[in-house]
Amino acid sequence: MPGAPLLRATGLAAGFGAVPVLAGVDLEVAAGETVVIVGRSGCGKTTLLHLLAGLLSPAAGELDAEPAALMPQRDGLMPWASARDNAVLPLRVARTPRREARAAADAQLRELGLGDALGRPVSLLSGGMRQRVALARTLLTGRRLLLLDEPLASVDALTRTELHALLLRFLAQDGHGAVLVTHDLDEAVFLADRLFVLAPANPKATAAAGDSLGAMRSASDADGASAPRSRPSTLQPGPVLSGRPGQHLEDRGGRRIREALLAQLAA
Amino acid sequence: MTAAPTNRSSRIAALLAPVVVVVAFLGAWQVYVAASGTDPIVLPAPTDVASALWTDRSLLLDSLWQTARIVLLGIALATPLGVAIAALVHHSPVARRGLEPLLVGSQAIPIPVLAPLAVIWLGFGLATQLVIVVIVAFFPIAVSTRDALASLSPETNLVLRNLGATGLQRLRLVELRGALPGIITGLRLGVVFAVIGAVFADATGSTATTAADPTSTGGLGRVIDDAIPQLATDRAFAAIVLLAAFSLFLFWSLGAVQRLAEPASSRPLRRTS
Repeated sequence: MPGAPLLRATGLAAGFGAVPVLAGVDLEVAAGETVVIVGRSGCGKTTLLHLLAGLLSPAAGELDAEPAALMPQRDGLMPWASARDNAVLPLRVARTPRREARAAADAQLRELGLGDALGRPVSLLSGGMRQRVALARTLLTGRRLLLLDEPLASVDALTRTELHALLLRFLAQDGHGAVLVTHDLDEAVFLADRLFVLAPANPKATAAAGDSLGAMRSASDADGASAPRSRPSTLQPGPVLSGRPGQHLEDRGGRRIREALLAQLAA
Repeated sequence: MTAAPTNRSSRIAALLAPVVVVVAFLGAWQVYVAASGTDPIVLPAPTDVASALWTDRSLLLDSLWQTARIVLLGIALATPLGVAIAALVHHSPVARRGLEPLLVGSQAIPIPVLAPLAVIWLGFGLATQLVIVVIVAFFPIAVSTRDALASLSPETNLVLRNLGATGLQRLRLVELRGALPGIITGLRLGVVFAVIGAVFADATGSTATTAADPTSTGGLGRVIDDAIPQLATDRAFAAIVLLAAFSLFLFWSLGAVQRLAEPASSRPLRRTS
């Protein structure tokens, strides 16, 4: 069962210069749950995760979150280093004694099925194995809040199916709470406790989203800029899923869910 | 497998190519000198140079050692200096804007101007020679290291920021290792510049070196300087051959080290059977 919230965001907004990207984002994530955010490419999913990770400052709104571990879209592994040396990075940054750090990294990699690849350079590993190394590195931060940016976007369909099961096992264990963004509906439904859709806000909802966006708009108007600007995205609760994570779309609402999601994404 | 012989023959071709070019060059040179009847004082034939290499071997080898010592010491100082400047400039935009004019400006001073100035400031001796070599060698190292630091994966940078790594941790745990191939590229250029610097430095510093130690010959720069007024052009050429061979040795050795520093996937595949 979900526990205390690891993250609470209210009315978050962000933009690049005068271009608003996100507005009126409300989100709460509890320990033990996986929240999946679905959105089209370019809708601001990565920006939202960077905001939640504290790598960007919000233009408006409030964020109260535990330190989060970010798993970026491309794995960000050091190609010259072994699986072990990549996974151990968070512990080295945290100044964990070398031997202890190495043992922890080895144990985590073994748990993720990489026992045979500990000393192998990651540049020689398959896409799926690299994602596992990146997941090990993320888990070894010891942080409870995990932010995963399309973690399986670059692996083939078969590997993705394997990794779904693995993610399911690790995301919810040890009191972790996770926010995962994806544009893959099946993946979203398979992994999510709760679904959200990140899509451009309709003007009425935008107006209701509060002062943040209004402030950004008037600031840009004051600059004299008159070019039409894309609408910022906002987070909307997605359809409520039946069943449990680990079940496929057909067991979690089937067509009803798919159609509801597509309708929200198209809006 | 049909690929193996092709592989082997292309490797042999790669090894032979420089030999063939050098032999052809020397042959053409020898034929030209013989056919044109050029005075060996103006242009000695390769066989004259080879003969000078043998006759003056003791002087030349001792001088090579003097020059090599200056080059290696200079590189040993220029490398940490170049890498430190690159790291500073990479992590601090203010430092970059502040240092850039000075760094680029330092490279606009021609060595023949720099060498006598260094003597005026520091007198004759090792310190002066090292200053000249360091000034010419650190720049390619700094530029190449900075470019390598800037081209590390943005995702790795995101991870490091997310982990809250300090600037020093980023350098120590990730960036310096990631930039290693770039650092070595800078070093390969740096050693070639250093040899040129050392030749000019020999001419300034060696007077004092030979005065302090009568058994010392100064460096190869000094050998060339002395040989020309004595019309011993063959000896000057012999010194140049040694300088070129020394530069090439350093350049190729560093190239081999560089291949080891690259990720395994970018190395050519070896047949396992």
